[in-house]
Formats: sequence, C-alpha cells, structure tokens
Amino acid sequence: MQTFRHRGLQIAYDDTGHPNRPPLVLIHGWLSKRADLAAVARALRTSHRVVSIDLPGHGESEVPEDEGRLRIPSFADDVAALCDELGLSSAALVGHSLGAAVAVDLAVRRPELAAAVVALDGVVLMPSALLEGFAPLLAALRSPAWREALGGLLTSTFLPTDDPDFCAACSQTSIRCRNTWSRQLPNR
Amino acid sequence: MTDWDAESAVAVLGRSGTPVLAIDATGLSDLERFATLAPQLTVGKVVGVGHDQMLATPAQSVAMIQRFLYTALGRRSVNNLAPVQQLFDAITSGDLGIIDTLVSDDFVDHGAPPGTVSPGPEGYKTTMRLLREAMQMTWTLIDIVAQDERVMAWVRCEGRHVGNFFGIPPTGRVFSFEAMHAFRVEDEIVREHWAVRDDLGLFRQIGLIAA
Repeated sequence: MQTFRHRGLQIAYDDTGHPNRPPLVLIHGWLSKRADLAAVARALRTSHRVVSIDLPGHGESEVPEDEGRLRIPSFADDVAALCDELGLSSAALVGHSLGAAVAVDLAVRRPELAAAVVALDGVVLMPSALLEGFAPLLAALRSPAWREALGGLLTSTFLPTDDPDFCAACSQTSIRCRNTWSRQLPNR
Repeated sequence: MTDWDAESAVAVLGRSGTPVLAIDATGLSDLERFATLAPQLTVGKVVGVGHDQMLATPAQSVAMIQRFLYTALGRRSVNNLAPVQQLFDAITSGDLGIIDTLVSDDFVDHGAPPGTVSPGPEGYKTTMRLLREAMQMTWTLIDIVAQDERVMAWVRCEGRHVGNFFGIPPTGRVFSFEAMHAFRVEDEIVREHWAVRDDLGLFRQIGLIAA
C-alpha cells in the first residue's frame, strides 16, 4: 500500500502491473474497497500499469468529517489528484458500481485525463424502476435500521450461483464501511 | 448519491467522444439511454456472475477490457518480441519479480520436466531460481526472431552444477550447451514456452552419463 494526502485526507492506493504499459485506474464502488478489485488488478497486470485507489471513507483511506467528501464529484477530484500525484497524463478509468459514475464524472471534468471509461456493472444512469426504489433505500441507510436496508440492497445484486463466502465478505466490508460513517450519515 | 446529474454527465461524455465500455452484470444502468446520450458506447454482458462476484471471477470482464482498450485506443503496433527479450533480461539479472508482469496466470512451461512446476508466473520463477542457484546458469541470446504470436530464441546456456537439480546431487562440473526456445506470445503477454535443448550434452558434461 502507498498513500498520499489530498485536501487534508490520507488516501491509500496501489501502483502495480507493468510499469511501461498503458496506465489504468481502478475505482471501487460505494461501501467497497480497492482490495475487492484485487483479482481484476492481478489479471490486468500483464497488459497495464494498474493503479487502484481507496476512495475517502473507504478501505484504508481516512474517513472525512464532511459528508461532501463522500459525493461523486469529490471522489472524482480525489482520483484526479492521485493521477496528478503519479504523473499520469492519461489513463483508462475503470469503475465498478458507483466507481463507474466517478469515472464518468472525472472524464467530464478532465477529458484529457480519460483515455477511456469502462463501467463494470456501473451505477451511472439507473433504470427508472430501480431509481424509484433507491431514494427510500438511501433514506433507510440513515435510519437505525440501516443494516437491514443495506443487506437487502446488496442481496439484490447477488446471483444464486455466486460464491456465498465472497458475497458475505463483500457485505461485511459494506457494513463495516457504513459503520465508520456514523458522523456523516447520522441516524434520524 | 442521487444529487449527481448523470444525464448531463453522460451527455458531455458522449460529445467528448471518449471511448466508453459498459460491462453489465445485473442491469444497474439504463444502457439504452446511455447509448442515446453517448453513441460511442460499447456494451458487454457477463454471464453467471453477480455485481460483486464479477470482481472475484474477472476473466470475462478482463478479456473485454483488454480487447476494448487495445482496439479503442488505436492499437499500438504489437511487439511480441519485447516481452521475451525482457524475460531473458530478468533471468540473467536475477530480477525475477518482473516475470509477474510478462507471463499470464495460465502460462504453461512445456520445457520443464512434466509435473514439476505449476502454471503461471510462480512456477516459472521457481524453475528460474533453481537454474540460477543449483546450476549457476547464465543465458546468452545468439538470435531471436518473432512472427505474429511466435517468438523463437536460440540461446547458449553456461554454468556450474553446484546444487540439487531435480534430485541430481551437485557434481561441481561446468557445462555449456545450446537450446532453441519457442514462445507463444499474445498481445505482448507470454502464454506458453517449449524448448529443444541439448540435455544429452548437459548430462554428459556433468557426468551423469558416460561421455
């Protein structure tokens, strides 16, 4: 793990893969962490220089005091800062889940930085049916019953054939991560 | 999260022409709307993996990402000779860590004694460590050529047998022999290796069989 500081927060990242091949930045999803993308980073190591970031409030990066630091444009600014820190003038931006929205937002803000955007089951333009269910779910995540709400949300994206241990580990990651956000998302 | 204006962002992305690939698993984005706003969108779909499982079982996604980036970013001229040259540089210098970035996870070394090494970079590094330590092997490239996915290298190997080598106790003898190596290299990633070696010459020189 390596770290850098940006706007007052220590941010964790890895810089792996082939140093002379085209750079690619992996951006994890909401309530996830860069370690969840380790198998992707490993598989891409022969074709790319692979940079993976823990967004603020996630994984091994510091948790911000300000909820504004947990929003998509702010996350995009953090990823841009890491690219600048590493001297990457252009990179493929690969985002999973909410990380895909971060990649899109960054590509809009810094078009010269985005060689390409890849969305892995991205949450970018939610289908209207899903969107209707999402707003109350976000509200529920601020309620004392946030664990149940989060559990329901995650389970809806698992397939029966998925590895139950891996899915359980991802759920635990999300619950632990949400738990560190008690100040940013106070129960109401 | 819902205060982010996805419609506007995707529309700007569409006008920028930046290549975009969406790999769908569980339908969390409206990709028809996405393609309306950003016509350059390429869509892939993974099967049999959910939202998180696609990260732990990444082969489908990784194949799509690699192919998409190779084609969408203006394919550089592929130099399949370079990674083989780098392999020989690595085993000569002893900087074996770089092998992780040169050979694939399913790399097969047909040149190793059957059943002795596992596929992938770890097995190959184990073999090279053994050759460097037990055989004090050095490699000199006499010639190397590449055509498409095939790379052929003509190599002189020299060394001294100072350690246990596949069950053969050290003899302390020096040796020098030649070998032809064939590699299959796909998009600059080494996938397979075969060797035609003068093993008979090696065994004679280290005294395993009568000269």
